[in-house]
Amino acid sequence: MDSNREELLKQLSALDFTIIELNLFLNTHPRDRNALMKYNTAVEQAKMLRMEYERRYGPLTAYYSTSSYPWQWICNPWPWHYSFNFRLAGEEC
Amino acid sequence: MMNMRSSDSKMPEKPYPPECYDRVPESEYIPGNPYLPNIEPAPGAPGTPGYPCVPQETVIENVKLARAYVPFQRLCSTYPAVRALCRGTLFPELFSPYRGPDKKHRPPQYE
Repeated sequence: MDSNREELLKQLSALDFTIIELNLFLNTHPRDRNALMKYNTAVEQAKMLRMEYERRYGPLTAYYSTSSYPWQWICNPWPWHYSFNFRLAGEEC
Repeated sequence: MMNMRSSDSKMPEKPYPPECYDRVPESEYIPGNPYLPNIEPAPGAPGTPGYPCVPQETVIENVKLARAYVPFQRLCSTYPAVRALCRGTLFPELFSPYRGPDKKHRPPQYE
């Protein structure tokens, strides 16, 4: 798979995970301004990355993404294919 | 309808990258306690002395049997996004991996 695409997907997946984590934290700490700021920042970043990804590589979901002609959702690889997904390298961990 | 490629049916050698848990630096652990990561407070408030990242309960009054007591989490530092995804948590205080050998065998420890 295109390494740029893989990198973009990795960054987006990582940001989406960050958003879930902060979402759960904010459920019990709704007045934590610092956490809320981090959450809002992550959401804005993810929004931009998602737009960038879909502009370059096609829709990530079948119902919240617009599509060029012809209908792009059916193009391989599908998200559950191994070749669609990135491998987490050791460096960042 | 679905066009499965032959390369897509191949299983990866490992279900997760070994670096996520298997090769955690020694400094991540408190000596003698393989289950707690060694949390370095971030500079500045939360995490400075008197305001630790993990609130240290000293007195819990009126304790009852068979009740669990969980300290209230504080926001301290957070991992960069990709590391958080790899480690399964955004919060360093919640990352407490097993050491490799401890996964197989851990003798009982008494104080």
